Amino acid sequence: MRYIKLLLLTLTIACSGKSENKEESTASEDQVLNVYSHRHYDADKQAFERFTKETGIKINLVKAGADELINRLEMEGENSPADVLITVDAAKLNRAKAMGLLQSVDANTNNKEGFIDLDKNWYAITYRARVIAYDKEDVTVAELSTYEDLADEKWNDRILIRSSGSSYNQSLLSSIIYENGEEAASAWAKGIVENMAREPKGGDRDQIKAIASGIGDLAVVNTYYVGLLLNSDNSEEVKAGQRVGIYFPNQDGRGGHINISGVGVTKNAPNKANAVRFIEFLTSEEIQKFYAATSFEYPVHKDVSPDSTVAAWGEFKIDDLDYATNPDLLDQAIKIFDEAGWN
Amino acid sequence: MKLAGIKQPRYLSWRLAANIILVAILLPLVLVASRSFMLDTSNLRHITSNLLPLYLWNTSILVIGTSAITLIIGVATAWIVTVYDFPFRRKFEWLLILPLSIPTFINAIAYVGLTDYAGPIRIFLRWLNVDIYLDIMNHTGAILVMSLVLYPYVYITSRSAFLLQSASLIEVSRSLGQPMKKTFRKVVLPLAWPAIFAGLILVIMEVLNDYGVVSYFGIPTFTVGIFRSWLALGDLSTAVFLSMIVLIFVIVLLVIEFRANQKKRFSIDKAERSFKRLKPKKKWVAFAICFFPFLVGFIVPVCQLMWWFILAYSHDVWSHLLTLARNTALLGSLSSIIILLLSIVLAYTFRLVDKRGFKKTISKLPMLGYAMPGAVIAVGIIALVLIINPSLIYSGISALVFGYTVRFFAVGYGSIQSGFDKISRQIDDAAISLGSNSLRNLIRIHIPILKPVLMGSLIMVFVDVAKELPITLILRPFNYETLATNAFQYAKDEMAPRAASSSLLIIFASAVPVYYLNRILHRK
Repeated sequence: MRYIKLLLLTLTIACSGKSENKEESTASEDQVLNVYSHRHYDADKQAFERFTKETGIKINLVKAGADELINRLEMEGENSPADVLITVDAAKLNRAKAMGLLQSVDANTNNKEGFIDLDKNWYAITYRARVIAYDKEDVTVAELSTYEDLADEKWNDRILIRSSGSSYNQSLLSSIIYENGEEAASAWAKGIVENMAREPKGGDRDQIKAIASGIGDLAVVNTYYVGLLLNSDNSEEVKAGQRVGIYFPNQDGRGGHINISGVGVTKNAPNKANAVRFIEFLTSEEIQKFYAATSFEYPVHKDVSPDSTVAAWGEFKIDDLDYATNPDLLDQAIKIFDEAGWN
Repeated sequence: MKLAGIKQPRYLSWRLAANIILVAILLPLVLVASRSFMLDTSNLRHITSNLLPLYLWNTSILVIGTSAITLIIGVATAWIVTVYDFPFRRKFEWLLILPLSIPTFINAIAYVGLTDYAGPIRIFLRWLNVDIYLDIMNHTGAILVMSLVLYPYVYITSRSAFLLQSASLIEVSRSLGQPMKKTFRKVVLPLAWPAIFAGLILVIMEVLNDYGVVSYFGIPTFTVGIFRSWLALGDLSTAVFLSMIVLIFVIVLLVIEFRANQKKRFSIDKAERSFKRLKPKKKWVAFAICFFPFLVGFIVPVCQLMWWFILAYSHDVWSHLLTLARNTALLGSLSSIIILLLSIVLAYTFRLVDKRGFKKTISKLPMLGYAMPGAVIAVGIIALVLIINPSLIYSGISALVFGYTVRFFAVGYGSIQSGFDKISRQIDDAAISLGSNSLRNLIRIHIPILKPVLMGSLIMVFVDVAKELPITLILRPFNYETLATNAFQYAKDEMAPRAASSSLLIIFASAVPVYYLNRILHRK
């Protein structure tokens, strides 16, 4: 008898768990927005809460990796509940676009030029720069020039960079393939592997800490993480961050590489109007200021300037995102990494 | 046993139930495999020529390394705790299980945080003016980081095997003049080997499955390859091909285990176990051997997390923590109860029907889910849900619980099945001859006998679900967060200190059941 009770109890819990969720999803059926996001920051959470407060539209959020979400959108097809897809890299948005998962929408934004997809399949929200962090003691700015130069012999055993699994590195190599061709890109990747101070490992912060440990002199990192490091809770991390200078490469040429966080409306979005409102909200002056102040990212709004930590690194020329329009370059990049033995 | 004129009962309803369970568990795996044939395999050549040897090499090193270390730590501590008397022995019985509550990835970031530039060790060294670069992000580091929190699997299984072994066997060996060491080597170890191996298989499957540690440490293993070809190259077929290689390896292991278990013989006796007294000096050696794994596998990472917790105290690490804990608890208990019920039905049916030879290996099939990367299982579940009813996606936690059931079935089922094996069949026959039926037998005889095993498997599944990540990330409903997803979010964003509060809560939520697990084991 006791076991039957246990069984009943289980079933009750199971059913109550389910019904609870159903209520949630049906309560505000007409005013929702279903978001698939790769961004998982507290700043987003607060921005989304403000959106709900201002518009009354409830946001349903699923957070996972960009590739997982794209794969999921593809599998779900017409049945997908998703309205918008947010990623931290334009190349991923373009992949989704090339797979026919996004649609063109007209949103009223004040984005800087180049920060909206040509076919209006996606709109940028913020961006970060992929820069060279250098040890102020061992390297002078005059020695630095371009990403391409990092493959030069003079940097032998001095470069720190994370693994090729990082989408930022995949994006960077895609831009090099686009600019210099596949052969040169392959030679570059091999050169970098030769010059690495250690096997690629850890995250962006770990590369800067390795400079502080004296393992290498240059690290290719994302400005966002440098900002986090400089504002860390751990004072030793702040010290490590202060040891490095930030250099924007390729300023005389195509400009510095950036990673765009962007939002696109899905092909079968059930709440398209809400999705457009969402894009307009995220790119509005108010939210752009909020992002700039809280997440160490660059705002995309014409009239909003970055936070003081970020602004202190100076202004820089940005590489355009033409490379990102060809999603096949990502596949090529991964194969080049593998052939070069870049983990 | 077949007698002329008496037909064996056919147990149709049991068989039907068992077959439904088997199909339900295996269907997602089959769907993943079938999806892979629809796509092209252009990347396969690229992977096999450039990466396969590398994946094989790295994976082998990690598997061999963790196996060796978990075997040494797990078996040695289990033996010492079971046989010798030394200070705090009874405490160690359960303290040694605690490291199991720490997810491998959290252990990795804790140890990196401990040893990197901004960590306490280096700060202390710099204070002494002797800065040494400590790098644990390599093979050795990965092996240690994983072994330290996985050895309890071996500890648990070998300890229960040592406990089940007849104490008189040891006494006979000792009375014939064999020293304790030789008794252990010649009598105890060979008898306990099948159980130890069962624990080792769980360790190996965890290592094969790990993505967090190896991708952070930059060690390309099969799992890294699976994710790379599936997600970065968008090529599911190559990913499935790589998973199949892993699966074949696991099947080989399971067959070995199966063979080993066939030779297993049990003789449970109620003889009071006596603990061997040690000389004062040796007492503390035994204490040290048991304390060390607990120190480095639990105290050290927990202290690092506490330090981070204090650093991040001022931030909003508190809000929603209660909801997260509730979600984790609900998912954990629901999945563990479902796995328990299904395992009982399945294991009991295989007992009733008594299949032999090849057919009996079918009973091992549901364990394969444990060897598959969680994300691949999630694909199978999504494919299944899309076939049944697309609107079910995100409608609740049922898909998630289903995913856990497929993934962690082995954890509960394995121990429940071996539990059933230990019950003499004569008891069943006697009860039947007295007019009982199979269902009544199960409820009145088997379940009461198996209670400790059942509770143990409930708790192990619970702990595993609390730590699980990839399935949770992909299959959770909208706006659904668990302790693990919350910790991962901050860890992934390289804000380890803010991951500390939820990590500590995962550890706490798992440590409490682990404490009870031991009390249950002890009652045996």
